Amino acid sequence: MMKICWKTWLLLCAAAAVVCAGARPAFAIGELSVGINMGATYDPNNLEGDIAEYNMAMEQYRNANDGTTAKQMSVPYAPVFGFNFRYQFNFFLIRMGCHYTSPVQSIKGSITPPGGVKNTIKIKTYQNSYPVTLGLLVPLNKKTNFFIGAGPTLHQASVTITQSEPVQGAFSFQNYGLSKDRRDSYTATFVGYHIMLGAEVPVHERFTMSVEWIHQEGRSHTIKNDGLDSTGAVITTPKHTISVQGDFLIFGLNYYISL
Amino acid sequence: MRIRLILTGILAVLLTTPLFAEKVNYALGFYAGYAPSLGGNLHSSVQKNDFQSENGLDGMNRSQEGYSTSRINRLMGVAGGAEFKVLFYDYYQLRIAGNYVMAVYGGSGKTVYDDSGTTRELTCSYKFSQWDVPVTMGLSIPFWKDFKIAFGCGVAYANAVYQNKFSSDTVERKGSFKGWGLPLVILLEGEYFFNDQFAVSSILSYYKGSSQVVKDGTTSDGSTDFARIDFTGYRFHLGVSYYFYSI
Amino acid sequence: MSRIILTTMILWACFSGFLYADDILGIGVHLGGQHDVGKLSDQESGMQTDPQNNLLAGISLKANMSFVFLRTGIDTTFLLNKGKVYEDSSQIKTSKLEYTAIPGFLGLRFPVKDMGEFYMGGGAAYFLGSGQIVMADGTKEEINTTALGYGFITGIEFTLVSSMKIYMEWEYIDARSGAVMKTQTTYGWKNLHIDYTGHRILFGVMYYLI
Repeated sequence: MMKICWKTWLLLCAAAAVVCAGARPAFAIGELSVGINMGATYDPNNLEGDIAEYNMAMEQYRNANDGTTAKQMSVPYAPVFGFNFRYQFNFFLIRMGCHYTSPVQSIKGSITPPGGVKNTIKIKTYQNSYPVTLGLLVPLNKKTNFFIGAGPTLHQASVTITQSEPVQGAFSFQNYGLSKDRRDSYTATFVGYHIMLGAEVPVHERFTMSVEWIHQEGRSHTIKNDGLDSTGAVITTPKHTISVQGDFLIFGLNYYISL
Repeated sequence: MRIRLILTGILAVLLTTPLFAEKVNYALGFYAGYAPSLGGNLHSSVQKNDFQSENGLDGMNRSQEGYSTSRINRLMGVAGGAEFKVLFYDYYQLRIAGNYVMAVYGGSGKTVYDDSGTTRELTCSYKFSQWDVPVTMGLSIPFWKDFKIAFGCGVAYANAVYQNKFSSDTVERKGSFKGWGLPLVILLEGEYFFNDQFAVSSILSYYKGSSQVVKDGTTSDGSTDFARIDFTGYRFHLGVSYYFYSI
Repeated sequence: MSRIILTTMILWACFSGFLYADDILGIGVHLGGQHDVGKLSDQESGMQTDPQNNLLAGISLKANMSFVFLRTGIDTTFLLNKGKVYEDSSQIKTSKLEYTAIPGFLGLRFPVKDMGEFYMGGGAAYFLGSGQIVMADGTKEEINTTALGYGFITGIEFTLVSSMKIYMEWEYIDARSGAVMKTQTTYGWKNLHIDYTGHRILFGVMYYLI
């Protein structure tokens, strides 16, 4: 009799536990959304240091040689476009996305030594990133939440620097420890990581607007140069690494798929 | 001049916008904080050409036995400012602010350098100050009437003055650089409301950008230096906000 | 008697969710990581590196007072992979750096009823680091440094049960040591400094004592 009473009592307590757990805020079983993103970044692929060295070389030469004309390269802003899939379960978040960035304005400068020919230096660059984010989110209401996350990112990045007249008797960037090649081109695929902070608000029954701050870190392995020297001959040196360190702010429009 | 006209125009539009209290709210805030690593590594051509440093202040940090040297720390700045925010339809926010940052710690010390084969002691000094006007747009999410979290992104007009000075037994170099730029600004702000209109806020902002390479404005040392002014870095502020209408 | 105690424990576990703790003082344990420890590539212009990555383990103490929080603790890093310098002109071949950091942050917290909170603050951290640099000629140099840096922290806590929360934090500290080692054969001075600057992501569990 006592045993039966004890088991009954235990069952009642277990039932109470289930009821109490159910009495907590009722989270959805899981929510899946797909979103398109648009945003901005500055200096994709971290070229600011390299650009500053070329600019400084041009300005030093212009200062020392009257009659030199020089135009500095500007560090570019770049738009960011992408999409993502997000799955939310209670306070966990899994996000898989893709975003692409490349400067719209050209990165272009030039220097014309006195009595020399104009050397136009251009930089082209792009970055494709595929972040996978695991994180925590704090849900406020239905489809209003705030989240933090981190994870690995697969990057495809490319940087190409070209010079129209890299070596002239009067001037060469080589004198300042920089490249004397007609083309230096580096492209690589590698893994980095990212940290993300974001928030989301509803705009319609199934649509939400989100904003995400993504901080990226990563550096490629050393990449062979797909280049041309000053005479136009193919070269594979110097090797270079690409750094994708940077910050993005991305706005998104998300559609919640019914599961 | 053009920047002032644009800012005046934006303010005029905002202040004359019909005040639909249920759709638009306005807020004014004041804050103060700090900015680590102000100005970045403060690299300039004289540091490379005359003192063998390829990365500015970081490369100047040297020590050698038999010489009196002291660590040169990167600059730490104190920052303060005011913000004006317009909030649309509960969630959308336009923010204009004015900030001033100046270095109060770091940037001075003693190092060594090579003077044609002779190692000499060098006293270094770096100074930096900046004012900027960021304009950002983003989302502001109200959590009941308790607090708001806002994300924003935009551009700032930043104007800074960077000065350096290097002196040894045989040489003295002074540099003064004034430059402007349009750095990217990313902003995260949290506001905790005491009542319907007053809040205490914390603001994390990230600036990314620099000026073009500018020429040294000091000629008395007989040397010409070049440097870019780096606005990149994080800032953290604490402040207070007042909302013109109840949230 | 044991049945009564067990029953009481089960019922307390059921209903404790309704007994919201004040969450004043918490102690947590966390794991995390940092990329590009030491920032070798920033030491010399043109240096091409494979960055060092470290795992991080630590304890955090958090004190909440209304809308303000204080957070401190101690973090220790463990090497995941060494930093390597690729191009031949550099004197450095590999670097290995591990450190212990003692952070302190002050900021605002934004509690979301009984679900959790978001918080954001600024502060400083003191670093005690040690490691080894292997030079191109094979010689090894042991290094020991300290540094004080400043930065920020932002994070989310989410309630598991009434006194137990999981948290995820993004921490950034800017800190550098003085010159500790000579890597340039041309000159006689020490030039290499240890850069502790970086972003850390932490994930942990916190128990609120009171």
